Amino acid sequence: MPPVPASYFDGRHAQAYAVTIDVDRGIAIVAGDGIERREALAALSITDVLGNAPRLVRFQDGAFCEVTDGEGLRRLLAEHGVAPSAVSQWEGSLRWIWAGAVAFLAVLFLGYRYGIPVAAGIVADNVPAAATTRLSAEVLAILDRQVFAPTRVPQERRDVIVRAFDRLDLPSRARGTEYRIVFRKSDMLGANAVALPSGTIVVTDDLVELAKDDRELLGVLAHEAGHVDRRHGLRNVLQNSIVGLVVAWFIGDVSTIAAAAPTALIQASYSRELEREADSYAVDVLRGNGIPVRHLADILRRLDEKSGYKDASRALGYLSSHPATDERLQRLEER
Amino acid sequence: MTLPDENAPAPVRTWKESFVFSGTGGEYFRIWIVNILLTVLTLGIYSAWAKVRRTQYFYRNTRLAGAGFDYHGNPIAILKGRIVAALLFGGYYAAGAVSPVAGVVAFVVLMCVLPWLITRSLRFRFYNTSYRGLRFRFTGSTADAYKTFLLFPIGTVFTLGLLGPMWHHSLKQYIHANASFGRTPFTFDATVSSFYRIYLAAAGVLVLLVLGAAAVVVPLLMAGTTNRQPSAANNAALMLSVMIIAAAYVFASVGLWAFTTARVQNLTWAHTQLGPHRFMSEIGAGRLVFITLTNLLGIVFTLGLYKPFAEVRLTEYLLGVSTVVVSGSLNDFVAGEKLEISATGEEAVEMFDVDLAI
Repeated sequence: MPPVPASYFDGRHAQAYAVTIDVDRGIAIVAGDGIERREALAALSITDVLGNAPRLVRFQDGAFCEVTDGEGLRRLLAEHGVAPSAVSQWEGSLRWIWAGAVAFLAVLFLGYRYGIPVAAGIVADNVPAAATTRLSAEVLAILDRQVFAPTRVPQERRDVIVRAFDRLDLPSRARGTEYRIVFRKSDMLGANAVALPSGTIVVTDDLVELAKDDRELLGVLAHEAGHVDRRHGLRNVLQNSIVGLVVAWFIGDVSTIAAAAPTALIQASYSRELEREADSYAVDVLRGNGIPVRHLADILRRLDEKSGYKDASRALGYLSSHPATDERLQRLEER
Repeated sequence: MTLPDENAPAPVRTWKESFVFSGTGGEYFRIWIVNILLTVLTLGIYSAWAKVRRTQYFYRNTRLAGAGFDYHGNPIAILKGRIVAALLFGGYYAAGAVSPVAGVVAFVVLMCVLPWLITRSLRFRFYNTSYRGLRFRFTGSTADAYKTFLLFPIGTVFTLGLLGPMWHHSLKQYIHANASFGRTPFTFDATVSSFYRIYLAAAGVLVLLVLGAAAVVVPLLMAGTTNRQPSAANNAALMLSVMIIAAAYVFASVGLWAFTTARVQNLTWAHTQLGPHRFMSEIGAGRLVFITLTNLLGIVFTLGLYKPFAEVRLTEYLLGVSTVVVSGSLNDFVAGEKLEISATGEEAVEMFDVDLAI
């Protein structure tokens, strides 16, 4: 084995010396350009294989050799029983790298499909009720200042709706979730219902007016109850945050603004998934209480026609936070 | 006949040494992929070793005048730093969840601690970087850190950005004027007004970009909304204009960023000296935009697999346009004293995404 050429530095000055490294009976010999050093191979610290980056052979006093002939050094060391690390061997094997690339894509997909939703679910389930209640109260206070006006729906009408809802058999009531229906007038939101994590569900006057049958309202309330029971509010925030972080890590170095588009797409798809879950929950509740599912379908259809954004929402499909109404109606009619 | 003056100093030889990157995307891909998979398998603990491997690959492949750089970061120190940073980060998030007031308090505390963390981060990063066996050092004071990373940002916000160029100048000065290689200090002499000239030019570019985009988008938007009745053609026009606006926004922001970054970097290095040696940086904004945007497309369309290639490509370019104007010899540097520095600063700063790309 010919000696391996290297550059020697003494660690105290910037001067480079052209030397060669050889190993003889366990002793490393560095010689050339006025330098002559002998050291037990075991006393030297040799940096790992890192692609084709130069490797460094370090003496204990701070001096070192920089070796660019990676192959030569590897052979020299192999002759004397020094093998590259396991990690670098994995990096060196093309077959394992292909496997790694496939595993990487699998991890990405599994993370998106299961990892993030499950992790978000676990955290959401473990947030203390006191924090959720306070957060919801604050959100409602803000909404009351900016978006809502006091309701104009008559007291008796409200009582009828609340009583009908209270009579509903909901799986989550057994778990101790307490629901509170409140009514508000809102021109900005139009006909709508909003669920807050604490169990407070806000119903707008326009929605009450739009309903031709109270059972339609019960369908919508069941959907909102699904959001509460499955903790969609918190899960949504958590999932969105994690997605934001992961995408930013990937693309962020290049452009934080460009990361917004993929992030929005993924967040919207998560949002649609939660809406589908709430729809399924609503169907189960309606069936369990002997209410025909078509009532929910009726009011959804009426809401869709009223808003008039049918084509636009289909066009913006991937960016939409709710599945297209046609899809929702189809799923309701199937079940 | 006049004899040459024997006491005159011999003329000093100056020549240019260019930085070279000797690594490749293919090599780095292998390291990158194994890093990620091992990090996932160890639930993040390997990330400290992954970072050291990555940094060593890039530093050792950065070559100047026949020798490479090196990174001496200790994975255990980095791991400890990351744990501390994660606790800080978690505490900040938790405070925000408890109540808005707690969130604000946590934010203020964080802002007050950040300058100190940044200084530590710089000290760690610099000391663990060496060239030809001599270490770099950062000796910026914590007091100056507070001026640069707390007072200036607040001032910039209050002056609606007008103090921005001055802040950027103070940032570069804080880093370059407090750095040294071995026992030789760096010096920095760029003026504040030169930074203002760059940002003024950038503002001009922004105006041009906005006008250009508007010229394309406004007619499209008009076409999409003239007819009140929704129709397929109108929706198509609307969708198209939304996409064009989004793409133009990305293009414009990358373009502006590249313009400013290239100019600032070139200016900063042209006014930095290390002993008798000078520096040159010739980053071209156009080329930087092209590389950045194509890298971005590559990463998105390969679901991330192109990222290591993108990083190598960018590093290759940036190093290729960087030069040292050597005066005399590079051999005259001498080592400074040894130090022990922990990694807490560096990790905490990275967690909060403070990018101090020099």
